[in-house]
Amino acid sequence: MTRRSWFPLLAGLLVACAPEIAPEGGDDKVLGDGEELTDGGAVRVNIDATSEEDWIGYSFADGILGAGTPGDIELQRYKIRLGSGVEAALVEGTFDSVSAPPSDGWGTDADPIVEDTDYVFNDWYVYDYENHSLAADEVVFVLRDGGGLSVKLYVEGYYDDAGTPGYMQFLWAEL
Amino acid sequence: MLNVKLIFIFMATSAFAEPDDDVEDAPVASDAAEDDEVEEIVVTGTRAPRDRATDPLATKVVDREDIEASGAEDVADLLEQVPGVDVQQSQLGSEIRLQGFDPDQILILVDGQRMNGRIGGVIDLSRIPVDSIERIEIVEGTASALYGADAMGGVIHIVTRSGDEKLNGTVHARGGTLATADASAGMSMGTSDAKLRVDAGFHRNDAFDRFPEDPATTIDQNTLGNASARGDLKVGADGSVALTGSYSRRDQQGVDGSGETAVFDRRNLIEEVRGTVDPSWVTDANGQLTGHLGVSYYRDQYVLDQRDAAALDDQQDTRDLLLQGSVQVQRLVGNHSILLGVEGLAESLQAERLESGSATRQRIGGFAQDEWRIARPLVLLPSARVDTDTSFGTFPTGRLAARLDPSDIVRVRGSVGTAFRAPSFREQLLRFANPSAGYVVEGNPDLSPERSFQTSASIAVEDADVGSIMVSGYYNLIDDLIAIGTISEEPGNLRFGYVNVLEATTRGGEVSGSIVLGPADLSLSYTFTDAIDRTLDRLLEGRARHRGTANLGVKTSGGGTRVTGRTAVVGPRIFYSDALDPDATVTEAPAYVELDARAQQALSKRFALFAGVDNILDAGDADRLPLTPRLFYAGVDGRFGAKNTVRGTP
Repeated sequence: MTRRSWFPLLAGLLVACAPEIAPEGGDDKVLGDGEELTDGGAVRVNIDATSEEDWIGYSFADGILGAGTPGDIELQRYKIRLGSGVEAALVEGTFDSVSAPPSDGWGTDADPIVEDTDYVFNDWYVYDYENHSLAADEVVFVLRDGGGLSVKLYVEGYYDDAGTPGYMQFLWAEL
Repeated sequence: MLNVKLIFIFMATSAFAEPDDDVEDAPVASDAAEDDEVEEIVVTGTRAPRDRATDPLATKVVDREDIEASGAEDVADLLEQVPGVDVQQSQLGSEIRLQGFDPDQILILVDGQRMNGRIGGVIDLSRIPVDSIERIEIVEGTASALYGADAMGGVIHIVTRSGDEKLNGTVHARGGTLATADASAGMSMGTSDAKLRVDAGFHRNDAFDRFPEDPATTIDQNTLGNASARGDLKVGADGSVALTGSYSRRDQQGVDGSGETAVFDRRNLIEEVRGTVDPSWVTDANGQLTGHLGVSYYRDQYVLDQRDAAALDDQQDTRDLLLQGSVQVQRLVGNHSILLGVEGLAESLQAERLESGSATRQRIGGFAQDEWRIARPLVLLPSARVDTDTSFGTFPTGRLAARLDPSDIVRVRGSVGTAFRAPSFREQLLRFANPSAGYVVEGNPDLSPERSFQTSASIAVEDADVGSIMVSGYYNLIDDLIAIGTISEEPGNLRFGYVNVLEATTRGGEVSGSIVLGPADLSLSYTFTDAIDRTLDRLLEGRARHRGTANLGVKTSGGGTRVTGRTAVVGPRIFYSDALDPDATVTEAPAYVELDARAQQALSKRFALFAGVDNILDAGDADRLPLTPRLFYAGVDGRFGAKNTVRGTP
């Protein structure tokens, strides 16, 4: 394949008459980082995980830790990975239906990660091939570590109010 | 002075004369050609002007009369009811298939110049208005041995209108539902040695939504303006030159998004510039030298404007430039009509999604053809071409066609040959990341051309006074089909890319006929297409196995009123969620019927009113069949100047 510079010269000879067009821009309707306590006693978390390079750490004890800080879980775009020493199990059902840790099904992320299926959290979403969008599946993850952590977690969404992906929303509560 | 046009015709027809015909017969042959009012000149099958009736290859022609009777405003609308031509609407526009081949495996020419500006391999035929078109020639099956890359399924050749010696002009105006407005005008002038025609047009329609439950539109709002000019000059006693130039601008706007996620206002501002120079020189009574020099420039400004945010805004400026030049010589040697030529192409693409931002490539090809009349009813047409491209190397192709005329009205044709499609710049050099879904699609510079081995045969019975019937069949083997597959599984970074991986077979046939019944002419066709992915042992997606057309025209005895009806019946089509996954989700787009009707009433020799309904049954849906909804329209045609009357008027 050759790449020479004759294109700009010839293209310049062909004067395009149409105006240049561009997006109009606008104020993003983002979901900022934040946590709130729900009426049922669970914690709803919004995390800006739009970065394609950074993993955003989250601690169930200390909240959102920020980019590059290890936590109990770490988020990047649609991916969720488990922190060091944390294992998780997938339970099918609604958030409210899970009241105790399962007896089996526990696992950690593969090392090294080769593809998305190596994440325990890989099944949090259903991919819509028609619209190329992700929607939360009816699954709950239960997490634990050797230090007494035992929580259930349900991923609620991945988009902000304008439909921008990477704004992860999840609900968690202690078991 | 030799008449250049008649020499063209003579050269094309002389190959069918008796073997001992000599140069002195030329004026007789020319006179015969001049006197034959039904003679129809075509240029595509053998790459030289000739009488269609003597063409070794079957050529379907949609002429100016067909265009005006159809009521079509663009080429997509015009071709959708042509037998064997599969025109479908998709998100990429109006795409065309021949013999089960995909749109990127079909060569589209305008006055011999390749069209560029393929999006996803598709040239959107709705971007070509019919205002300045004299005729469209369709040659199905392999033609790479004359035209090189991309002529696997066939060649669609659009020929623009030439000027007349006397000053005359045309005006056309149409309005309809969906805020449709079409207006065009053309003017011709000239002398016996110089003719000029200029055309200009304006076309628009509103957006339309077949699924109001989501914010996305099904049909884009379009505004298209176009202008073109063509000059035909005689140069000296034996030379001529044809010059064409055109400019069009299309503003296309729609809304994307399901409502589940982001909603976008999408806009494409597309400009096309095309210019050609075609000199021709009759060297002597047996020879002719012709050339072609052309430039095609396509620019697409694409803007995706996210509503209520700017995070997902996107803007791309794609510029595609194609230079094409060729020289060919045609010479009669005994009962051989020899064609030799060379053709060069230089193409450049600037696009944000190319890994390098821009790329160029060059190609040169040499071709040869021998139209050999072995015996009076039998003609052989061997041809061969070798292309050398800077991106994929050297690729030879060949074809052997034959024609046998058992009687004056029966024509048997057959051909066997090879063809190829060049990998596109995008397939070679794309880099597209989808961070929300976590994958990257990359081009593959090492792609080989798609290649095919093709056979076809047909038998036609044609009687100009009664009608015609044709039965044809084809069998094509296609290898190294390009599809998107997994090329790397680096940790945490899935990469997909284009690979030569699939093999396919297309086979099928067509039965078509037309008959003249007093004031009515009726044509019917049925096409069967069986396109199989041999790698995954399943049907290729997007093709209808069954397709039929019916066209009826009736005019009053005085010719002042003409009523036409056009129907296309298209069978179900299969689509897959993944091109390479044998377990992919299969969806079936249902069969549909497109029915159009049109009536025209002449008010005088110069003006006529018309009205019609397109898509009477309102076929279409938002997913797989984004057709323009039922459309009512009315308008007026007018002509002025010498020799001009509205077609069909007394």
